[in-house]
Parts: sequence; structure tokens; C-alpha cells
Amino acid sequence: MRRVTIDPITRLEGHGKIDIFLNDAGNVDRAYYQIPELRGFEVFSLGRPAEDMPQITSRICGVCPTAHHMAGTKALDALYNVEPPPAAKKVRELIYNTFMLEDHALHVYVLGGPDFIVGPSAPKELRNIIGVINTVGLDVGKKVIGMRRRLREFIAYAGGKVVHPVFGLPGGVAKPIAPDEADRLKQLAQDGLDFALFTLQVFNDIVLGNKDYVSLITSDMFTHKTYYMGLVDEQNRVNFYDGNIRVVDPNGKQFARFPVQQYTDYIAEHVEPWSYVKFCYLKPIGWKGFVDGEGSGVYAAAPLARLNAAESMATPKAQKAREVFFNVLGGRPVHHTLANHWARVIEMIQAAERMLELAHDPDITSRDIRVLPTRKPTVGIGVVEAPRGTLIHHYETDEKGLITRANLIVATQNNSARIAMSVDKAAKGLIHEGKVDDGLLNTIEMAFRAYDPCNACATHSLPGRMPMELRLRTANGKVIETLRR
Amino acid sequence: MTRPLILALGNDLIGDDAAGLLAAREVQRHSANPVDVVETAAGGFALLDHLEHRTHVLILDTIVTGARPAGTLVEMTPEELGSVPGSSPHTAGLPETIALAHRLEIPFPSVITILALEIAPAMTIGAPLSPEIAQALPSMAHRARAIIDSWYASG
Repeated sequence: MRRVTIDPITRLEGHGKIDIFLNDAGNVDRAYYQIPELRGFEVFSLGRPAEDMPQITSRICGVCPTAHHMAGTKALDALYNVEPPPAAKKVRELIYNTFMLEDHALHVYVLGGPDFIVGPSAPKELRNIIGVINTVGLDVGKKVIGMRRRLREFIAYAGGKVVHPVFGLPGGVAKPIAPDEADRLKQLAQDGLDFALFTLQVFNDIVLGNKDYVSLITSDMFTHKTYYMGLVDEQNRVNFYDGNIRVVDPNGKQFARFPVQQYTDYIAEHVEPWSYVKFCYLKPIGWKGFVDGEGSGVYAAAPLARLNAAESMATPKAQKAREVFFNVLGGRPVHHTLANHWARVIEMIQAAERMLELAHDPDITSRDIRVLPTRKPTVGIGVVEAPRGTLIHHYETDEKGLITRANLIVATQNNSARIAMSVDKAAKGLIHEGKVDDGLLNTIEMAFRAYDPCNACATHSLPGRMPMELRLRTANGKVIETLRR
Repeated sequence: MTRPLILALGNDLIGDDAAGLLAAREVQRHSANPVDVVETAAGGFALLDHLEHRTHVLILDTIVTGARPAGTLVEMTPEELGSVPGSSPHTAGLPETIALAHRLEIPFPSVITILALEIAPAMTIGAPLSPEIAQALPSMAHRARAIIDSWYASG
């Protein structure tokens, strides 16, 4: 057996490594997607005041601090058994939808989008934001950067800090939206919606207008028939900020619908000796390995999963886009991993529409923004839909509010088994008789980029470029060939 | 020349990853010349917000190559950091950010110097600084001050 190692060293996301084991015929026996995970969170948390957790957890990640801050804040609501006033919930939801729009836009244009906007077979050095601008025009590039800046400025205003927000408090928020800021917000939300609809048009023109791209999206190589998870409101509509967790089976039928307080009844973690990652699976079904189908507990989260898990979007323009999505891709649920990119654009529309609704809601300027907690803390569990999937914070404290136990289910963890399956499937589809080329690396990257994975994202070391290293090894580990770019 | 900016990248919860932040604080305490310091755990295009409209920026960060002993100080220009890479699985890197700024004609620093300490991968929340990095920090701060002083000397 030979071993192929792909070792992408990238800024922020830590060091991923893909080990591909070849059999004697040179075909793939098994591919392993290995990622180091941050360690020590629980130990670090012990004995700290629970009130510090939304700040501490938001500092874990430089990419989605708002999601951690919000999940942590909601866990504190539950910990102190306090219900925030309606105005506070609306301010939180407003900030959160702004964050979702900004984060999704970044992924669409900068991270995942280049695969399609520039093209999956384009040279790697062109598949980046510069390639996107060259394809769609300089004005679009300026529009993307300008919109991102305005959205972040609003988050900075409302949230206290852009990178590590401080607005969430148990029982409410630190401040309302000032009336003059609300007027500016209305314009921002409208511009954000126009931008999201423009993005859908770009996607329609460039991706859906190209039958080769549609074939790629729907190809078997990027397809897994798994369960799907997402937060839904009372009418089973997609909700990023609050609601019940809904899970549908590979046929789209509801499998479970539960409040986050019951998450340990439904979500369990499987450990493999070759990975630091804990692979989440559906506890009532059990861990049956890295396989799909109704009998396997593997499930997915993030945009595609959210659309699959809900009965509809919560806003009209997003719902219209969702209907086209399912019509084109053969009905709900859609099992094609690369459809995450399209689903992400549809979620941009919902985030912008919800922003616009809340911008016009007079409650966001109300001074009634906090109920002070008075009860003894015990256990608090909070959930939001992070851009990359369902995010759960679970804190337990002593009666002084000092942490005695802390557990996080981070968004990407929900997808970790499915990501491993995607990498394995791509490798099996593209390595035959020992022949490995650059196209393999691109395809595997595309497979896991669609999930927008967020692994070990708190470290920030350079180099800032992404050398890909692929090593062919003999069964005893000797390197017989190394490919780099 | 605008007032120089030290852009310190890292996460102060994660041991050696905080090296750039700690060195920046040291420079700010002892620099003979005025300097702005921004600490951030963000990366990619979020850095544009700090770089725009500056003329001279010193980036303090850590680097993981595995090719040098931990604690080795590395000084680079953005060009030396690498050409524009393909899109990363998760976020854009500094070279891509700089290329984007040029493409969009965003007012951008004419001088960017990167000073980075080689570290072993830092993956443990709450970890202390390793002895190698603790020992190397003064030399990083010393070199950073010298760079700032040289910018003032050359006007």
C-alpha cells in the first residue's frame, strides 16, 4: 500500500492534512482528512465567571466571533433563567443577520465563489478574488468591498467591537440602536438586500447558465444522502438566531425537532484514532461509520442543510429563490455538497430581508433592553446558526456563577464526518492506478471549501500563502515522490 | 509619512500565537517615536480596514514553517511572503489582501514590513508562552523599534 499526503498549510485555519492510502494497484483504499483542533477550552474555562464566556469564546475565533458571542449570550440567558425583552431580542437578531450577510458575502466572492465564478478548471493562481474581479468587473469588486465595510461598521457601532463584540448580556443587550443610526440602518439594509439579489443574479448568470457547472454540482462525486440539521421557527422556517433544532432524514422527512436543551439526547460525538476531530452523529441512530443513508447517523449542517431541514425561508424574496433552488436541483432535500454555494446566496437574501424588517421596527430604539438576572445560575445552553452550521454553547456553574463545566459543539464539527466522506469520495473518483495530478488537489479542495470549514481557526500564524504538498509514500512510509505548488 | 502603524496579529489566549501582540505592547511602551498599535485576531480582508490610508505599516506576527527553530526572527516584505495564492479553504491571506487593494486602487501603505517569530503550531487555549518564544520576544521588540526609528529618520 502507498500513502499520498496532501498538506495544505494555510493562514487562520490551521494545518489540514489529507492522507490518501493507495492499494497495490494504485487505487485509493481510503482517504483521511486530518485537522488539528484547538485544545484546552474546557480546562481554560473552569473557575471563570460565566459572564466572561461570551467574550472569551468570541476570542477563540477571528472569523465568526459574533456567532460565538451570541451563542454564549443565549447560554447565559438560560443559565440565569432570564427572558430578554422583545427589543433586546430584536437588536440581537438585527446584529446577527448583519453578521450573516457579511460573512456569507465574503465566502461567496472570496473563498468558495472563485471555484465557480472563475471556473473549477481555471488555473489555481486565478481562482481568487482578483480572478473574480477580472471576471465580473472592477465595479463589482468595489461593491463587494464597500458593502462589507458598511456592514462591519454597523456591527462595530451596535456590537461595540467588530472583531470581538461585547453587546450581549444575560437578559438583554448593552444598548439600543440610536434613532439617527436607525435611519442610516434602513438604507444599509436596503442596499444589503439589493446587493444580495445582485449576487443571486451573478450566480444565476455565471453558474447556473453554464451546464458544465450544473453537472459538476450534481455529480455523484459531490453527493451524499445524509440527514440535515438546522434551526427553525414555529412555522419550520429557517431562523439564524433562535428556534428549535430540526433534523430531516435523507428523504426530507422530519426525524426530530427539539429545543437545544435536549441536544445531548440527539447529538453524540465519535472519536477516531487518526483524528483530533470529534465526529458528530445522531445519537438515536448511532455511529455506523463514514457512510450515508437512512441507517447512518451522519448528518450535515450549514446553508444546504438549513434549507433542507426547514419547510421554507422566513422572508419572501429568499423563499422565491429557494423554490427555484429546489426545482432546479430535483426537490427537497438536495444532497449535492456544492449546492451549499447556492444555498449560501439564498441565505444572504434572507439575512438582508430580515435586517430590513428589523430596521423598520421601532422596537430596536426602545430603552427597554434588559431584564437583570436575579436567579441562581445552574445550567445554560444556547444555540445559534453560525454561517458554518449549528453552534451550541453549554455552561454549568456553581451557585456563584463560576464555570464548573463547559462544552461547545462548533459549527464545523457537525459536518466533520460528511467532510471526511467528501474528501474520500473525491479521492476515489480521481486517483486511478496511482495517477495523481493537480486536478485532484483542486477537486478535494472544492469539496471541503463548500462546507466553509472552520477548523482551528484561532491561530494566526503566517505564512499567508497556501503551499500544497502531496507526498507519495510506500507502505513503509518512504517518500517516493513529492509534488508542490 | 503618516504616523507608523504596528499591526499586531495573534490570539492572546493561545500561547505563542500571542507573540506579535506582546512585542507590540513592548514597543509601544518604549518607542522613542510615536506609533499607533492595533491588535487583532482577524485576518484576510479585515486587515484592509487597518491598512487603508496608512503609508508605513509594520506587521508583527508569528510564522509556522517548520523549517527554522522556534524563536527565529524573520523579516520580510509582502513580496517575499509570496505571490497571490489560490483562494484558501477558509480565508484570504495577506498577499491576496494586498493584491486586492492594488486592484481596487485602495489607498494603501507604500511601506509594509513583516516581522514574524517562527513558532511551533499553537493549538492549546490558555497555554503559556514557550521558553523559546519568551526568550525571543525582546529581540523582536528591539528590531521593531529599530524599524520604526529608521522610518522616522528617513522622513
